[in-house]
Amino acid sequence: MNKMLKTLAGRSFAASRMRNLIAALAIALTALLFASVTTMTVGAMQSMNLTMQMQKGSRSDGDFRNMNREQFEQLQAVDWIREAGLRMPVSFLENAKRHNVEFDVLDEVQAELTFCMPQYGSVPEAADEVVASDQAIRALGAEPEIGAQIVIAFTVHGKAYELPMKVSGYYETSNSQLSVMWTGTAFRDAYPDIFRYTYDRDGEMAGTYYSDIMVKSADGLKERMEELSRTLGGNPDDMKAANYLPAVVNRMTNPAPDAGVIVITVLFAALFMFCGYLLIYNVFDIAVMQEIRRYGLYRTIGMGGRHVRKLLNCQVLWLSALGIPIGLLFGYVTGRTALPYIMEIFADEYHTLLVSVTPSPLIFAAAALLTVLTVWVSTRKPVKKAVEIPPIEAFRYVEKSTGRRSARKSAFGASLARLAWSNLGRNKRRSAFILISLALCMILLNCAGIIADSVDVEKQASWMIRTDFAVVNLVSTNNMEGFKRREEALKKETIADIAAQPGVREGTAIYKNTMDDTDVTYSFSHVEALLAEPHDESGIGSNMIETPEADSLSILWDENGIVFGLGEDKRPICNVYGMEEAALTRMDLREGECDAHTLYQKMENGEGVLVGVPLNRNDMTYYEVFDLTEIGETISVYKDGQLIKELPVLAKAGINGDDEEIGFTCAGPLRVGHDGLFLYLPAGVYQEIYDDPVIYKYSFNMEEDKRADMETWLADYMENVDVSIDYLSAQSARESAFAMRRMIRFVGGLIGVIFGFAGVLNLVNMVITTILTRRHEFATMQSIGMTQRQLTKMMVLESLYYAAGACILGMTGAVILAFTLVRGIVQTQWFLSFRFTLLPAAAVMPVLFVTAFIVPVAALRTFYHDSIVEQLRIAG
Amino acid sequence: MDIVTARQLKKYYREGKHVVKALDGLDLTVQRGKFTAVIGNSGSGKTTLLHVIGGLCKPTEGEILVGGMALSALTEEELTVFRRRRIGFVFQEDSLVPELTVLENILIPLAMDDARPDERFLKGIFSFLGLEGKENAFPDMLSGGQKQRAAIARALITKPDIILADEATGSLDGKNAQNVAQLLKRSVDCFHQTLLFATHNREIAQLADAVICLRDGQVCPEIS
Repeated sequence: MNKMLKTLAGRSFAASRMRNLIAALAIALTALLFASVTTMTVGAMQSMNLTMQMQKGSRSDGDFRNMNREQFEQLQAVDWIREAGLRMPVSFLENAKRHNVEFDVLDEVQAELTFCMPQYGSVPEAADEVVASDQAIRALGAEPEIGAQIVIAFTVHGKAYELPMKVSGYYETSNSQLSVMWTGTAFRDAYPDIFRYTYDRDGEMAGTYYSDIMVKSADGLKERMEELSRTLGGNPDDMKAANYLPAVVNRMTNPAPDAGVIVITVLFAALFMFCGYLLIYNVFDIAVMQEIRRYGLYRTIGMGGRHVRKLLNCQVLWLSALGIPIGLLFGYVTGRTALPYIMEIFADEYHTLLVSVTPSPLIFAAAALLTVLTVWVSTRKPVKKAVEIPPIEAFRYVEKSTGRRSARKSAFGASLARLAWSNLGRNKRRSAFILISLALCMILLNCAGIIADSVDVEKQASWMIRTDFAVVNLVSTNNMEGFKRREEALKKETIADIAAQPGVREGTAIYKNTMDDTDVTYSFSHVEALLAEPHDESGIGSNMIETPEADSLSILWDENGIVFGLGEDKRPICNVYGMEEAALTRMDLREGECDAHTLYQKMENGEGVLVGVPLNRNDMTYYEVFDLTEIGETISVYKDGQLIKELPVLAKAGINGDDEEIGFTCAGPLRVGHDGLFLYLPAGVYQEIYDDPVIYKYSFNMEEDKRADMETWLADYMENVDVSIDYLSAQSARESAFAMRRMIRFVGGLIGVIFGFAGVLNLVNMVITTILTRRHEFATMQSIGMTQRQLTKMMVLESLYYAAGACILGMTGAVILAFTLVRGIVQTQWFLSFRFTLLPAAAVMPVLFVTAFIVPVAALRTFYHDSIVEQLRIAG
Repeated sequence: MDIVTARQLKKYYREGKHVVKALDGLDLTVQRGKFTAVIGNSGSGKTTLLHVIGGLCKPTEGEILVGGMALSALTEEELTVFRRRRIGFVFQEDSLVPELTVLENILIPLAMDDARPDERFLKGIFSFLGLEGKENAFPDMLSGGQKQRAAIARALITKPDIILADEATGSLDGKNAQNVAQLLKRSVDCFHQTLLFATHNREIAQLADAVICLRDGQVCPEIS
């Protein structure tokens, strides 16, 4: 850039402090908006990812399993893999009490990727050193301390081991069910017998190599990992193959892109860019108009359009360099502060939610990029105006009305109100921008208010829980786990302790089948048709997958993708519940025998079964694809492959989260019976069918005045007596709905306030500009008799007209949007019931009027306080 | 030899529903190296004529040749370069950039061409216009007369074909106005340039080698 232009740009920049302050503030505000929203979005995603990763136990991009040593060594040399951890599973410890402890050999990379690095102490060096979770150490009878002595017992290759070990470090875990104890490769070298590779012969895990990996780029990761598995001599597809070498992408780290999220992100980005545009455009347009004579002079003495463009772009650059970092910093702090409130709404769906946001360069880069883009778009037109205005036009420029007015007689003469009114139209575009930004503030606040008020607390709570309290095993509230094994059953002593508490009413234990109950299966017309399809001699059909893994069942699916978990005889094991009458009474009976008492009696007599059909939460109707049976249809019950009962469908009920498992989570049923059927039987009948019936939930109501006591008692009981349980209360379900309401108010309010701030800043800028550019006009009016008080009154009236216009526009817009867009949004969300309000918009009105009063008074005092002669001299 | 030739020059403005005929079929010539005064009442078209000659605006109709160059055919960018290199402007009002020093103000037109000043010529101008010692002063530190002298220096620095002075003494008192006008005339003589000076002031017009009188956008034949 030309040295003279630089000098000129620099000095004129330094000379216009107030203008620069406002422009930098406008840019900073835009950056703040983007940074806060980006921080909240990225933070929410990071927190959800971290929570999901911790629940899964890995933050890697993916992992390879069942490798031998050679395969692992080849894997380490692959160039697109950035980091490859080493994990050699040994066994689960047999002497750990009330906690599952997996004992592995890990290296530090693997420990880091799987959240096993010691928070206290150091990594294991010697063969007898271990790192474990605090809970694992306690489960082995020691206190979590560095140097603590423990004994570990396990069996590998048919040989039992009992080894004394020393704790070199430990970490805290939030998972009370399972954690990892690990040692280093010195242990492998000290006990080569344990690590003999026999997996291909006997399926023994000890001796295999697992590896969690981090890659340089996640593009096409699944395909690349599967290809690598084949290159290593493995088979990533066939679970039955001897060389089965699974290559699994970690979907917690690399979730599949969600089109809905992308659309919403783009819409919000566009909305915020519009807000920034309203603000920055106006500020720069005013700044250019203030300086237009100067640009005319520049052009007259030989500056070309490109020189003026460079000069302005240079100033825009400096203002951006000033405003953007400040906005980014404050935006990050704002977003970070807001994040925990936003994450509260997920707390019930994602148990043990971790809120995490790091000052990632991504946040700042994305926010800065969007701000720069907004600044660039917003300043193009003012810059173009300065560049393209003919020099002579600019040189004699005086701001005039942009509209046409016809001559007319006024009955009231030149009243202050009339003078103020006629001043409004001097620049219609600018006036429109102020009105729009102020009105948008009201409209957005009102929309957020309506959506927040529409959060139907009772609807949401009643979906999550049908009683005052429901107590389950911890796994049931973990959406990555769920109740799926008999060993996860609720203890009878725990139920007895709860039932003995004062105020407990209608307490009911609910039985549920598990993955261990594969001997009992069911058949009905829908699956009979599926099972009739071609199958091989082992009973496996083309619509069926048989899994060799102990942690999952073989599955069957229909043409709609509805999946059934299969039992030993390759018939569905279904999700089967056994309950007392009180529990059945609370269910939503919709078809067939809808009298709960009669139904229960009939079922007790073996006359039939109640079938649950999952509901669509939006309209509370059956999901058609899950509605697989008809009233009167017979469901055959098999045990060990033999028909033991035939149960006609007596009734159908619409089922919610509480009927499936608890609250929002249904991870257990999805692993056991998968999508269906959901069968509900009287406890007695259930106990007849299943050999080892287990209770998964105890639901009960409380006398109203004892509910708080029960919360306290349960919290204490969970902490000190039975650490394996968790509970949900109607109150906590309501709290989550209230948290969602607070979050919507907060985020909507934040965006509304930013728009409001943009409007007020525009108003301030407009008033100051008016004073500066009309100084001569004001002084002339004063010289012909207008008092300072009258001048102030005229400016206040102008400002109040803007406020009044914004209120009319805002209220009208709020009402129109409420009954169109907002009602449309509300109707798509099951937890919302439309409730109209205008209170948020109305609450903004006094703020607008007070601001509109204060701004001109303060601006006149600051910028227009000299004598009339002095004003005329300055203006001249 | 003529430096400016105008044939049937028209410049119309629209003001609301009315059309203002600032120049209405004007024919004239201006001789190179002479001081020509343009006189006339307010609204007679003096300023518009200077703007058209200076390439600040294009005529509505007619032909204008400056130094043999037909301005109507030039683009906006070419007109900018034309102004920068071949025209010097001196205006009535304070036309210095307040953030730049006197020296920087004078050098703007050269700087826009990335050209270096002829140091001897620059020194000569400073000396001739009595601006020595004011090089690093900012405009608000100068008197009205000094500001106009700085503006004249800026107009001279590129050694333009023609200097257009639009009421250049209008904001000065009688004595100062005479001084600046004399200075402009002597500059033209000294630096062999052409001066076209629009003024109301008959005394200043008497200093000119030639006078063009305008009335209603046309040349008044009886005086010129």
